[in-house]
Amino acid sequence: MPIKRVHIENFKSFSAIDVELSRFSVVIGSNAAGKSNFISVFRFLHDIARHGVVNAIAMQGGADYLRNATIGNERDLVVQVTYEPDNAEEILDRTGTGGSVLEVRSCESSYEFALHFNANGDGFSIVRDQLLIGCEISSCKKDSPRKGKNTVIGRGSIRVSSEKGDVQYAVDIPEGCALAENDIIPLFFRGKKLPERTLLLETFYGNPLPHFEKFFDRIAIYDIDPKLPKKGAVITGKRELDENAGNLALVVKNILEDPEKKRKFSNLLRDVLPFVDDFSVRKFMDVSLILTMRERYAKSRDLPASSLSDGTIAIFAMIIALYFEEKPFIIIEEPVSHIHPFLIARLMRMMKEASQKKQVMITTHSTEVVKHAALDDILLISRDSEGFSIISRPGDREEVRTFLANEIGIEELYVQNLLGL
Amino acid sequence: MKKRLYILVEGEDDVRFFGRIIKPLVTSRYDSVELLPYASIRRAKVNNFIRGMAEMKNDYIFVADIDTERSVRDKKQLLYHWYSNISGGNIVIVIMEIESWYYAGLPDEALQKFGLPSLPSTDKLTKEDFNALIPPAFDSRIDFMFEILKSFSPATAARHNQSFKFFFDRYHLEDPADHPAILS
Repeated sequence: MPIKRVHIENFKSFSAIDVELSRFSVVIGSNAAGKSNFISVFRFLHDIARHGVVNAIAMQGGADYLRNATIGNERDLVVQVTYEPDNAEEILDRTGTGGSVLEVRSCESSYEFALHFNANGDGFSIVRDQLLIGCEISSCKKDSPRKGKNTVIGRGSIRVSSEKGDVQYAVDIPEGCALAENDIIPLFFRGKKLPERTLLLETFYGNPLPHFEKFFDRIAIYDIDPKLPKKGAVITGKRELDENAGNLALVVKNILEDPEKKRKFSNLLRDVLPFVDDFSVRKFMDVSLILTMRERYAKSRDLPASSLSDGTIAIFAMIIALYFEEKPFIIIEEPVSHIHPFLIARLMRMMKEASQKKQVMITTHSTEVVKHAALDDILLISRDSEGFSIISRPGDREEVRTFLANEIGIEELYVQNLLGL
Repeated sequence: MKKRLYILVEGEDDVRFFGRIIKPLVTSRYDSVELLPYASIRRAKVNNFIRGMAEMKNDYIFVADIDTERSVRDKKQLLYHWYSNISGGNIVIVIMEIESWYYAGLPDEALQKFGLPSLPSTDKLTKEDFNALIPPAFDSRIDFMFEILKSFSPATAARHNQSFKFFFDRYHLEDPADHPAILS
């Protein structure tokens, strides 16, 4: 379910921006331009879905650090996310006449909320909170839905909104479709009230709806710290990779237990690091796990994680994040800060490949990353004359394209600070 | 006195192929064998690399896909135009793309294992054709390409791809399966 567009207002260093996202985005910009603030939008959405909006605001440091310091409480904080659901088709009605069933296909949908903060403190009210699901309804043969030729009846939408906590539904059914609103939104969903200061995103009123379930709370924002796995991982822990990769040994142990996963991981690892002969995880004092690796050069000796390079550890973690974590959208902050330039092209190919299955965003200062990125994948964050962060696509700029056509490398334009022309 | 061999290749799929298959076959002849992916380097700089290699009297092989050119001769003409320092004798043209060399080297047992069709010739196999053949069990193209190289047979590849055979014969390469000493 890729996020296609993000609109934010009065959020950290942003006044108001609209950003189109592709499946793979490389976010660049000078120091203090606003890269981390942009990533914070996704962190905020993730935290709301997982911990609730009150906690999510606190986790950002409170209202003062969430809204823009210049704008303050003059304007609402707005976040709108437009996404394209995976091509999931659902049978809506099997009782259709004439040997046909109704099928619904999810189309571009959006979720939006606006918060109004009090002048002082973290007090706020929810001024807008709505989910709009677009869908296309078709009629198809009962015996072979999804295979036969469908007749498109039309496009409709389901709007779920919360007005001061009252959950309301509005269903737009295309003309000619033999469905009633109650067929789509059962009665037991109606007349419900959300607790105070609660967004749809954090409640089950949004979750039963197609494709809204389990997305935002599964966004992962990795900031890999190669020093942590060197200390080992506690034997008890969750199976998914921590965002700082601290539990790397535990996750690798789980991969090793599945021969097919081990084969795949080993291939991908050796594609980047050809000198790797084998890797394993050892139990230490029955309480912790240590990652070990054997190099081709020294076949008789396993190196413990503490002796591995930061880059090697980071590559272990990145391959897991890209290929083995069941996440719909991952962000990796500064993924190549420990990586030799020669290997960056390989990692970029992996990121691009992985982005076919999950949306991938990275932030970087690396010229080598910029050099190997497709121009259309680059998002440049900079500050405008008033100090607000703005986001642009260098690929849309004619000057940039002209330089590139004249054999000036994109990395040179980046170093010379000319990408924002 | 031995010297170095530089193999200039287009991108990372070529680096993987030449690094795992070709480099071990020629390593004993040189002090070192270095791979240089040139697709992301500007042409003027690539030209300077070639000049430097020639000045140091090192060997180099310049590998390029035929792409949309009609013949090897046409592709070479294009390369002469882009790289004034290049020597025609050092150019190897891959027909069609490196993927056709990967597939060409799959022995029958590997084809069976992956459930892939046996192609008498991969001379016309494009990247897109190759991608369409990736078995559904592989959700990573990189993983699949790496898996191919584990069972890659140069002698089989020479039978299934004319441009690989040309390269194999021209550099007097020997299949390690026929000469186990190469593997040691």
